[in-house]
Amino acid sequence: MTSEPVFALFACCVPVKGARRSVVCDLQRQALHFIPNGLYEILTEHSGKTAAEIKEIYEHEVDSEIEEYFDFLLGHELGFWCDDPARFPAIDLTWETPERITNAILDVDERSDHDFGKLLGELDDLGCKALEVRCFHRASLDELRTILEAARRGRLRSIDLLAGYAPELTPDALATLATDHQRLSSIVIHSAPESRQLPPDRRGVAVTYRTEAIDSPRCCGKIHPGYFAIDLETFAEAQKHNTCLNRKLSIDARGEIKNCPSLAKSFGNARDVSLHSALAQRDFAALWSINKDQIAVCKDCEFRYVCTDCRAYLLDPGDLYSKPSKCTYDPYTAEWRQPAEERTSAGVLREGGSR
Amino acid sequence: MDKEPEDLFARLSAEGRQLVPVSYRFLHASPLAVATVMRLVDSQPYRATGYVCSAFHKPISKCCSQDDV
Repeated sequence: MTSEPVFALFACCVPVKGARRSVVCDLQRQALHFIPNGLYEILTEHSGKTAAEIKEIYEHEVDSEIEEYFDFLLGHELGFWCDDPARFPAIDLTWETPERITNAILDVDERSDHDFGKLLGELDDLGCKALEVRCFHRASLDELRTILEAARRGRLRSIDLLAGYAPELTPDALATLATDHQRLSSIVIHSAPESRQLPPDRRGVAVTYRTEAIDSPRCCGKIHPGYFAIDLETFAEAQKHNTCLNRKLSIDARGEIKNCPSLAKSFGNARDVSLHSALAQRDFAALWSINKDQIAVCKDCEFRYVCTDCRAYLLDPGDLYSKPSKCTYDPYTAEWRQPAEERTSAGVLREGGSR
Repeated sequence: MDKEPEDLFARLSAEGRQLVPVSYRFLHASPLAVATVMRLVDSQPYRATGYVCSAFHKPISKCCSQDDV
């Protein structure tokens, strides 16, 4: 026991240092709080010291700033004063999962000839719990129902559906679809005449109409705060694994089995080989362990454990450890290239302590 | 504090009684049983919508720009 209280972050609030600034990732409330690197230093190198000891270390030159830092942390409920910090150990960031495949992408276009029952059955055998179906063409309601019907009896927990706009894909029709297929967790209609976000239904299923055309895998790989995943599972996975490709299996529109539809390497066509045998090939898991701490520029980024990576579109296509080419964030200046009003619309970023 | 499972169960709402019986049997012996079960009941709408249990948090693909909606 110490005589003076020391400050401890809640175990779910984990600081991550970037080149220019740091963040505290609140993995329970799924929020990011920006902090200066000076505060990161206090929270890590001087963890377990009292406020008086910390002020002494900095020779009382920044006492008021230190007070301000702790006020910020308390005000945002990121930590607390305690007498016995040893009773509040850091959270265990070991990542394990029993599923051989956790998530999958199934691409469909007007020329696709998938055997949906076979594919979804095999994904089910592999333990897949989340599927994204991407229909690049104008999909009919019947077509969507056929795909979803094949997933009705599996162990999938969630299905994200992306489909091209057709007049019959009305909000009412999509609401009925979501009611009939309770695994649906989100529906995005691309190439729509106007952008529109419908309020989530009782189960929280979000339906979004977007004007942009998403008509090929080349549209994928975008990096922006709207795609940050600020939760313990992703954060823990990101410590050692690639947050996009780890335990992912994809079937492109032609039936080629890949890590990602945007990657060239195929492990066979689903018509000829089973997903199991594709997964058993030595190279299938090669990209799974490329984590953000190994990737150029990303390793200096404060978002590296909440950002889902992309290995398909790289600044230097010849370098497997190159930064994603569609990421516009520069951790050395802490600036995005887009206007600020665009990047903050995701609602997950909370500014604070931005000295 | 209620000692008997029946008493605790009686305090639950109709919705709360739909909780998985195993959870209830596991919890009833704990001194924090009432608070814990009530918290489970309170969180039921979130679990029903998949917020806690069934959502896959990561984006599986990243095709959408941020500025469209």
